[in-house]
Amino acid sequence: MKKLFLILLVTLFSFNAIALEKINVIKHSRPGGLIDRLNVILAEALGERFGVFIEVANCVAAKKVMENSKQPVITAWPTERQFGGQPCTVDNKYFISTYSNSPYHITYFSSNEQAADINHLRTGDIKIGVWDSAFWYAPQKEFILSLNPNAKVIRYKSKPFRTALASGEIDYKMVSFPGEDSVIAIMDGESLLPEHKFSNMGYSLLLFGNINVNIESIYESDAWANRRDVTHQPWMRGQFKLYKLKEVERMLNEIGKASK
Amino acid sequence: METAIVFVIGIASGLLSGILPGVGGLVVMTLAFPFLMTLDPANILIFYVTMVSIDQFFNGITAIIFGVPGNSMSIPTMIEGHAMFRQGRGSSAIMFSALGSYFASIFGVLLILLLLPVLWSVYGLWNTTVQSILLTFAALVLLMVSRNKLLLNLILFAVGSFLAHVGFSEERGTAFFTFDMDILYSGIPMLPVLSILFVLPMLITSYLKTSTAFNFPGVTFDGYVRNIKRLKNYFPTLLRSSFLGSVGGFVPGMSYGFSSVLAYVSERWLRKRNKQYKLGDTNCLIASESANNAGAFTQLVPLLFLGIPITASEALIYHVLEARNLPVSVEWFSSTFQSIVLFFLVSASIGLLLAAKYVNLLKVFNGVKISYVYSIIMIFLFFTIYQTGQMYFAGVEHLLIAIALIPLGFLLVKRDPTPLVFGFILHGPLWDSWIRILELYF
Repeated sequence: MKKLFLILLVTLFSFNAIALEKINVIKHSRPGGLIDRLNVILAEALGERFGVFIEVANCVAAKKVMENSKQPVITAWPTERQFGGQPCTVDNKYFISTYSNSPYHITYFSSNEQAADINHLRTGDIKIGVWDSAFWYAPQKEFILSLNPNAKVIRYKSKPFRTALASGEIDYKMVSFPGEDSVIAIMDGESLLPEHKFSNMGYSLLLFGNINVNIESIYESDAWANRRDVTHQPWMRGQFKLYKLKEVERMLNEIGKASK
Repeated sequence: METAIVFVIGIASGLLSGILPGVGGLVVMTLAFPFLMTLDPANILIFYVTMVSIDQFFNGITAIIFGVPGNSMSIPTMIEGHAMFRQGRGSSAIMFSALGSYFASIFGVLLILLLLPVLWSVYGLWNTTVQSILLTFAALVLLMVSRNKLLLNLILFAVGSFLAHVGFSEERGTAFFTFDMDILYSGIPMLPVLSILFVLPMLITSYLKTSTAFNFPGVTFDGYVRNIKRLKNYFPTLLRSSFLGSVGGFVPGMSYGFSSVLAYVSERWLRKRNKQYKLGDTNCLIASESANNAGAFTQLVPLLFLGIPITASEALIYHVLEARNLPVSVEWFSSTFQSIVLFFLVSASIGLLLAAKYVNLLKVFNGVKISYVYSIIMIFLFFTIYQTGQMYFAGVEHLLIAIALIPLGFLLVKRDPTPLVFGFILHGPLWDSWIRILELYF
């Protein structure tokens, strides 16, 4: 009887310990940006299980936390970081799931009437702004020049990119979340040059961490339902982990070839 | 009631970010993030303008009295203000800095009110060309007006740029002088560079020059009244720098921190040209402080009129507003504009008064040997470097970087380290804008 009581007590404590185990979320990007917002969604979706935000300066520091933290941690991780053994590439043993994906949108400033014409995008002497990324720049440029050989592709960093359309120095912007800007085309594989190898291109994030989290619980949360970045959809939902990993690898290799 | 609480917390946050070096507005706002998420959207903006307004007043004081710039934008204030302090003109420096800030706050508000009908045309200012011209102008003037010979200035600017470039660039996918060391992948942080390559040489130079005791008479109400009357002598400087500060606030990638540098170097150039400049120049001090404050308000325009945040703090504000399902729009801003202006001006007035109260507390150091005060400052800076590094789990790494920079800091003793520090700060936006100009027009 005494033994049974002891077993019950230990089991009870163990369950409590598990129930109390909090999950921290690593924030490693510019506050208020896309990756940051998707990390906040993770925290909110965890509800009671959310511990604290661990804020680090960059992806190298985030990787370090993931590899060394004794407490459960998770984070939204841009897919391109897993390409080619960079300092930010994390071992696949920390891969939990694919998280979100949004096709690139080509946007223009609402009051720019000339840019609203799709023929201008296809044939005009246009300037298109893209995010300054070693990984994405080459395929984006390749696609844009196939669409319109007269186009100029300009790389932007965060702050000037936000106001580039408003200033009138570029005609279009290629982004995964269009915000308030008007959308002229979506790179969904159908709207523009369907036969082009990069016609279906988008920005995606993975879920990494040192604990297993059911991605469905994130998608079913209010935080996900009320997200700002509505163009970001669940990525490879319902697929097996191994399949997801293989697909990610295939996508990275395809895009990566162009980058190299 | 919520507004009153937000206002008080905004003041406390501004004090925290203003007084403590390395703790900028973004850090405080990140800490306050859960609190902000619970607020009424208009109160979020009130919190922000209050914090920014108070921060401006206190940032200057730490720079003037202790020679410690709270952040990069206080460097000009530190150069002139701390020199004034050492020359026994600390009270004047504090008062002119505070009054200039106050004047510029009002200037910024009035400018927006005036521009309201034509604000849409301000778009033209937000382009790479304007940004590039202003940044290049600032860099060139800076190289010309620093106390060293031009060649040395160029070398120091290049060293600063080199240090800023160290690290792994995620955009380019390349590592620069990281030697495959984790500690260097994140780049060289700002605070160790500011502390060791700017504050340390300056403190050593001051220490070698003066072996007297710390002496600060404090500020009085009469002193304020006297200096308000004298302020009219600096009216052209105030107008020029408030205007430059306001414009800097509008332009993305620059923000009001850069406005301060731009206004300072322009004023110093003018004063040198007229053979009026001497280290500890009141005009230059007023220029940098007023530009700071004017820009602090005008930087809200792109965010509130177009939903375009131009600083990281604003991006955070924008995110909170969006999360509260409030699309930022002209209509919404117009409806909240009056109360935001009111709180900005009230907090600027409180900042002016609190700053005076706070500086008088610093009289406790009077009589203490200046060498002890400088030693305390250095110990405090090392502690701050560790603490701010610890926020990213890298306290020891930041300390090690600071220690590694010490020999370079000693080489800068009796030299003007300004080009190096500005090379470090301006490197990113300067190169970025030049490359973009090439891509845009060639």
